Amino acid sequence: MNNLLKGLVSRTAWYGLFILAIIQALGPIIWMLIGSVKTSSEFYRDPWGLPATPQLSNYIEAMSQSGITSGLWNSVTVVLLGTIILAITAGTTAYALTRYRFSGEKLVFSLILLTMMVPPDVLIIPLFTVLRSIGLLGNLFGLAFLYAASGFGMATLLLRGYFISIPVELEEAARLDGANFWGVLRHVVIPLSLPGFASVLAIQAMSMWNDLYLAFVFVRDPALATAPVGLLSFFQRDSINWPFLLSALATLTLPVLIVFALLQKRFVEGMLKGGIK
Amino acid sequence: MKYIRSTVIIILTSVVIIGLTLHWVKYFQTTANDETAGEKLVIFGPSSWDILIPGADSETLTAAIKKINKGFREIHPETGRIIYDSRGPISDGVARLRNAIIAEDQVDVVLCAANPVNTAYAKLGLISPLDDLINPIKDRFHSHAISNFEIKEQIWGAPMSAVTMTTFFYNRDLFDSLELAPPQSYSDFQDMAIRLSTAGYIPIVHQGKNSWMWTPYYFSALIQILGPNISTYLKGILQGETKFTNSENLAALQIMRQWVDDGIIDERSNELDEEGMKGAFLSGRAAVFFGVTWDKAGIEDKANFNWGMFPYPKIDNTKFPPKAFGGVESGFCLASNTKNPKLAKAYIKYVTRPENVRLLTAPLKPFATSHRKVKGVNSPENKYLRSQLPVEKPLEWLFPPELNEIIQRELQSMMAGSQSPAAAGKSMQTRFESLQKAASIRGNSKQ
Amino acid sequence: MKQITSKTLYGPYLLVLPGAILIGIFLIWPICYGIWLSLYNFDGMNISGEASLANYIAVLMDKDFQNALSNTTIFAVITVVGKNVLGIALALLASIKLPGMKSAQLLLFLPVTLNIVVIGAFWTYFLGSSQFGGLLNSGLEAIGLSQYAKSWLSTPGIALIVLAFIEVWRWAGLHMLLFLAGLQSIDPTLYEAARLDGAGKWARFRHITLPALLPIIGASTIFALIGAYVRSFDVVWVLTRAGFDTEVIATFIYREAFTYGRFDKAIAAGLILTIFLSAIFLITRLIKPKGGQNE
Repeated sequence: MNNLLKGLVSRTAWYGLFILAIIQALGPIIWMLIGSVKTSSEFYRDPWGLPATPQLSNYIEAMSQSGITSGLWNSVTVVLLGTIILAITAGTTAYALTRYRFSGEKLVFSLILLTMMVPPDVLIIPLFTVLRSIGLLGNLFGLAFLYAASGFGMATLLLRGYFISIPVELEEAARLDGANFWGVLRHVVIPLSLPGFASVLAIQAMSMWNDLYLAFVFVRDPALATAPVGLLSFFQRDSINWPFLLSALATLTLPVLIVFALLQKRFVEGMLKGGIK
Repeated sequence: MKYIRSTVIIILTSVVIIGLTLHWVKYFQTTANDETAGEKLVIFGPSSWDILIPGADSETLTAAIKKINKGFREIHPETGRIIYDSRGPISDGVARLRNAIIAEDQVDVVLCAANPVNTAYAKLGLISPLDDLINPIKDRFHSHAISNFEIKEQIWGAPMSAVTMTTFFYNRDLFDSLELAPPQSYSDFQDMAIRLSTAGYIPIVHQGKNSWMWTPYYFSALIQILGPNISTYLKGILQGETKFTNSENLAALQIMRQWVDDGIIDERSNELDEEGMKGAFLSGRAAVFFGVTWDKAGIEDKANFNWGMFPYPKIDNTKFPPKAFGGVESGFCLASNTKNPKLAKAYIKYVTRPENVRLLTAPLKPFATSHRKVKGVNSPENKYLRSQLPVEKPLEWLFPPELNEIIQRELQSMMAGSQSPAAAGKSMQTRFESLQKAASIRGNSKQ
Repeated sequence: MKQITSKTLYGPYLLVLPGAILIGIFLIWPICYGIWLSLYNFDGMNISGEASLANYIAVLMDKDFQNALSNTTIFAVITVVGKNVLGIALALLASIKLPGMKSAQLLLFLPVTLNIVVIGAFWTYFLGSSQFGGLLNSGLEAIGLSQYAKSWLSTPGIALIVLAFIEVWRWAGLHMLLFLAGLQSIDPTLYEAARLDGAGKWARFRHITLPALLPIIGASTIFALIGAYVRSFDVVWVLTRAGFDTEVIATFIYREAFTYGRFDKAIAAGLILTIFLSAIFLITRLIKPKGGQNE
């Protein structure tokens, strides 16, 4: 009897803590959603209350005002490009660092860490020159490469952890079976590391999606502006139209949520299988 | 369950692929159409505020742009597309302009505000002087308009805007309900504060989070102590002849801090940015805020109560009368890297013609403009504003940006109660002196 | 862990090539160019004379830089500890076998996906004074604790700590996932054996869980440290504009570069930061070789 009571108390305690954790995580999102359907004056009067009548039209007006539909497609393009570049570069480098012992290995590792420790502002002006010499200044390809470069360090380190968790024996067995390098990749490495790979890429893709700073500095053509840059149009001189801004932000966050929800099973599985060892 | 997930993924992927294709096809089509003949001209606004008619709604703006473009093309048929590109927040304006120039984007005419022209654009080489353009047409402009764009005897911009000035905005309905009249002396302000706070309202609210907005309070106090000697005094600080620890400066700081101590300015103002300040005013929670006449349009748009304006009060025991700060706010500059200076200058010359200026300033119902031939609109509030003329040029322009930053931060921290006025003055002086020392070290390295 | 010693000479080098090209062009080259620029007087557009080390000296002697460095260190300590503690706590919470936990993990991860604008807006409104609609302060006053109601984001001394908490809140979900992975890999029989030996919950945690999580704590600390020193611009700028004694190195560099136009000094400051961080990292490696590099 005593144990049952204890179990119940501890269960409610855990559920309680759990609900607290959920509230603190969801709070801002709920606030954003509620705020996005208020009228501007309602929002000023009471940022925390419920709206009288939800103004769903805010979403439509916000989207046309900020040009966010075009911005969203630009964002999708840049994030896709950047993620692909990142997948190829970080994947190969992480694999090499895991499976091979070669001279210069330590150097590569140190360089990767070093690049993570340089503040982005330092690089902005030199990057103008660099991008211009390659001809990538002001276009989305350049931005995609920059995104990949800034996520490279963290991605490589995390991927290395995943590759380490794949037993070498499996690869050797495949080789003994006659598979060449590509075969090993296709049949052993990629399938086993896919969940982890996907989760690392998803996290980096999300940073690329939310980035405002690099996009604002390096892509100045309004037709190529990514979605967060479009948000800037809400920051007018004399006031910010909060409900519009919040609806645009909600629209911006939605794809991230959808992607993570879809990946969730794989994602959690992935993080659980590897991680950082 | 598994099939639902797979179908969702397939649908989403197809939507994405179709959407992307459509988007990029459209993009390449529009860029192809852009290659029309003629010399393309880019009118660049460093921030979203730098537009032809600041504060106007998009229909008025589009109509005005159409008219200007048409008129300009009639005189200069070789002109191709004219692009107006103004985006971004004000605080990032300088950076946006600089990035565009460094990246060698096409920038011909810059819609420039007098403040950054004086504090950044000219110094950083982002714009070129316009003396040869302005001097022949000098009589179009008021001389005070030109002087706002004059740095060290060179003219850096062609003024074109309404005249603006600092002023208090107040909730007239609220005042009427409490039988309050607009205050004129400092003791009026104290009375007003007591009456308002007992009734449960915030007397004056301020955008304290934006440290640069504390300086209007500071200079408004200082100018009543120094009067016309104020420029000499401030220039003296740069040369070390006067110091922030001098009694005049301390008196000004004390006056400023007094507003908080006497409960006139809400002490939590440091939490608010411009948004928050206007939000508090527009929601009726705060009765007054200190702003600039360019805030008029927004307040008119959003306030659901009657509002009015009144000037900074006369402070007791000061020798000189109160003054508002402001002047001609914006104009046109020539980008330093333009490849078509001839056409750019022609555009500037065209758009500053009196008839065009009339078109561009009329929607704002200004009380005065930069141009002699464009008189302001007559209205009761404009009558009040005109009574405040002449205005004083903003004094921050005398100082380098690092010093302004120091002053602003010290003011901000003093108003928060983190340091006394005496300590603020001392801190300003110490930090300024170490700034000078550092600069001279850097200067030495040039050998 | 076994590794393949390269049979072909170029195998691993070929593999590393894409990554090397990427960071070579987009990171190493700009860094080198930046180093070169910092040795001159550079205002973002024109070079006007040699400065050799003058910029570096100017940075190190600048009181604002020293202040920013100490603020950033305080910020870093709080966020590193906070992210690890909260990450482990959430991971423990989320690994309990109750129904609905899987979706809970996703929900707890949500703050990581938010745009900084939303985070800034929410926390500004939440922490504002009650008369401006601040929920926390209104709440405190409502339950009679009004002496604790403060200007959380505009009081020097408190603001920095509040920012650090917001940063921890923002990334806790990510660290939770990292630790969850680690927790799953612990062999449950160890716990059983410990329980049979009479070890209580806390002892089990201390002797089994923590040691197993140590490598993850290491990685998590690295990410948190880098985040605090290098990438803290967003949080600070949006919430306090670096005022109220919350200036961190990232905002110092931004201000030097974009407000004052002193790019030479800004780059020097950034490189000093990099050297500083490398030094910290080297020191920790000397004290304790991090598991993960040596496998």
